[in-house]
Amino acid sequence: MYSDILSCVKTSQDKAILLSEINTLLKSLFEPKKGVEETLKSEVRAGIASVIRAKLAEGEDLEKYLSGLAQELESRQEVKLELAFEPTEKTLEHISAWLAANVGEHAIVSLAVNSALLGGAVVSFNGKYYDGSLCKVVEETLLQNRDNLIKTIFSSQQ
Amino acid sequence: MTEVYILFGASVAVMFLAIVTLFVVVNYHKTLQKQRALEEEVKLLRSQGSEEARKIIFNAHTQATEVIKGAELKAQELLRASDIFSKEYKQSFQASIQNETNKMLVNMSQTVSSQVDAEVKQIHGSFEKTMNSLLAQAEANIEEYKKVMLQRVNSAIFSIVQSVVKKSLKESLSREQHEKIIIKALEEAKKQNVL
Repeated sequence: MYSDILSCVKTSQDKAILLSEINTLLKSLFEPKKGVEETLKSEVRAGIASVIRAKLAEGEDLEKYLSGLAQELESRQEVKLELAFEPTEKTLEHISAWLAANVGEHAIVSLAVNSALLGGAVVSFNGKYYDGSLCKVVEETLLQNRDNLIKTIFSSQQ
Repeated sequence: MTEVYILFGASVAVMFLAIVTLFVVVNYHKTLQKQRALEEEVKLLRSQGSEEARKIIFNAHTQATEVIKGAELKAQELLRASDIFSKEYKQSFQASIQNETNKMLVNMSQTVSSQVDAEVKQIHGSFEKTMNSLLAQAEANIEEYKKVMLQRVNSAIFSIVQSVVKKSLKESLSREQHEKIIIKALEEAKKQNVL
């Protein structure tokens, strides 16, 4: 029922924006001056507005629909990802597709950027944590081979 | 009757006073006599004493004169002897003094030199010991310092290498490669039951 709108929600930011739009629309139901149409035109993104108009045309109870949508959104689980850079749309799509296939449709990404990671990602979900950053890999590898590394440097100096 | 008693009492008192007066007068007379006798004795003793003192002074004077004369004679003899004595004995006295002084100097120098030798040897020995121990300590300190500095150098080298590797990796990876690494991290997280 909500798949057409929820397919646009990939990140926690998307969730927050959509929830804000839903709340604005719900308020507008009880504002005789502004009305739903005016709110859809001025305060809701075009894509979302067109889906909602289509539902209204089908005879959906807007209040029920919006409340149900809000509940669905709230039930979305956030997978926190810390990346070394801000991902492109393509990268985000790939990540969301992977999460949908491996974690479930209810999983969305909560993004944070930390350039010190160098690459890879730090993943945390439901209180569990995994550091899959490139920085960690580099540090561990270098530490394991520290003595050899220093010997090689000194021998190359000679 | 009372007049009789009064008269009797007065006569008794008078008689008593007369007796007392008589007693006093008699005693006074005796005392005067004694005093005169004592004065005469004192005169006699004074005359005798002065005579004795004169005798003693005279004797002392004569004795002192004799002693002085004797001392003068002896002094003259000594003076005569010292004149003779000094010419003859001076030479041998001086010679003997010189001999003795030389002997003493030789002995002293020998003793001093042997003592100095012993002291120098002792000082040398203890100095050598001290130097050796200081040297060993200095060597140990140098080794320790070397170790510490080497460790610091190694740590510095390691951190430089680390930062160089990190910087070059960051710049060398493409977007696609980064994406692959992110997906690999997610897969590894799933393997470890994080997801």
